[in-house]
Amino acid sequence: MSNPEVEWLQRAQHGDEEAFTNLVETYQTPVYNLCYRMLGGPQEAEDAAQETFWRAYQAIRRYDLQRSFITWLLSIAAHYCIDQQRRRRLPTFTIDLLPEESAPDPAPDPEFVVSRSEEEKILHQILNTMSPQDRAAMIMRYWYNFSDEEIGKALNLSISAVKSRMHRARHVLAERWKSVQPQSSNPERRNHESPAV
Amino acid sequence: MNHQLYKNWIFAESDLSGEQLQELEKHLYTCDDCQQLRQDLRLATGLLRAAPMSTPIPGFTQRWQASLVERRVATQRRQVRRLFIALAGAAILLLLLFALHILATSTPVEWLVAAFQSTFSLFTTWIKVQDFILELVSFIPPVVPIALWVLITSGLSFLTLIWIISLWRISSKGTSNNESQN
Repeated sequence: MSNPEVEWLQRAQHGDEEAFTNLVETYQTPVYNLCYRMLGGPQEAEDAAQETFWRAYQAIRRYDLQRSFITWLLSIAAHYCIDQQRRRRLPTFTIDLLPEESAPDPAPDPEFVVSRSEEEKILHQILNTMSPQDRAAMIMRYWYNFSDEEIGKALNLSISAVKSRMHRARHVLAERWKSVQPQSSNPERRNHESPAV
Repeated sequence: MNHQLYKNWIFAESDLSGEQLQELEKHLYTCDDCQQLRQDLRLATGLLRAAPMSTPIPGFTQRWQASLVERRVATQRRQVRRLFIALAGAAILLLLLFALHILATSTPVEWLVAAFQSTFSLFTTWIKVQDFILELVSFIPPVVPIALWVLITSGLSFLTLIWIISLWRISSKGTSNNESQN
């Protein structure tokens, strides 16, 4: 954590609303992204992210400054999204709804936009087949580079439970990839792919 | 050949020892299925790693600030509602205890007698108060009454109105102190 963040956290713990607003400004994207990947719709993600910050605001006095703030914040977001998923007990991904802000380039190549959209659909399809906790673990690993230990802390799981969940989720990932990949196979997309694991 | 072992190793990602990795590589060299599985997993995880962060629509922080005010007001209302429910519950409980006490210490005939006595006492008190007021009015000079009555009635109405408005404000919005903290 950078120094201004530590200062904001300390001030927020003493009831400084402006300091907490700075934290919201800084962490809105990682929180929103986790909620979006968990829930699938922009509006649901917005509501979940707002709820996450409200819960964090209420509990900020109990936050231990020795802990990573992002891990703590994403833990709140993940638990909220998992609860939401359990309440619905329904697949929730709206694969045709993608936020316009997903593409970072202000004037992207149209072919890139199409391929990115296809990739997002595939991602949603794959993540949707996983249980909420497995999905949260995968998102934390591959979007936030969390270690098994960090994932365990965020989701209240033991390291062996995290390993087990990651193992199962990777299995689902490979299986689902095999089933969706032939229809979406696109040479352009592969050009934008990151290096293999 | 035990493919399941190698499949487990493929999914175990970075948890393998050097020896296990060597053995896995040897196996992959000869097994197309496992090779394909690892290829699929690598492509899929590559897709996950390459996916950009989704960002909220602009103005998230302003929406947060607005929602913070709304949530605080809602929380205060809930607290006031809970307080009223608790007070009403306590009053009902006291009434029940009082009723139980009466039931346990007296008979129905005694209740009837007590109720009759109370009603009679109330009635006589009311008549006494009426007589007292009439006597008091008869002493006041004839010019004063209308102006005095208008003044007293207006004052009492005004105080009652303020009392009702204050109760309504506290029950709907919380105390002014809490609001000023917002």
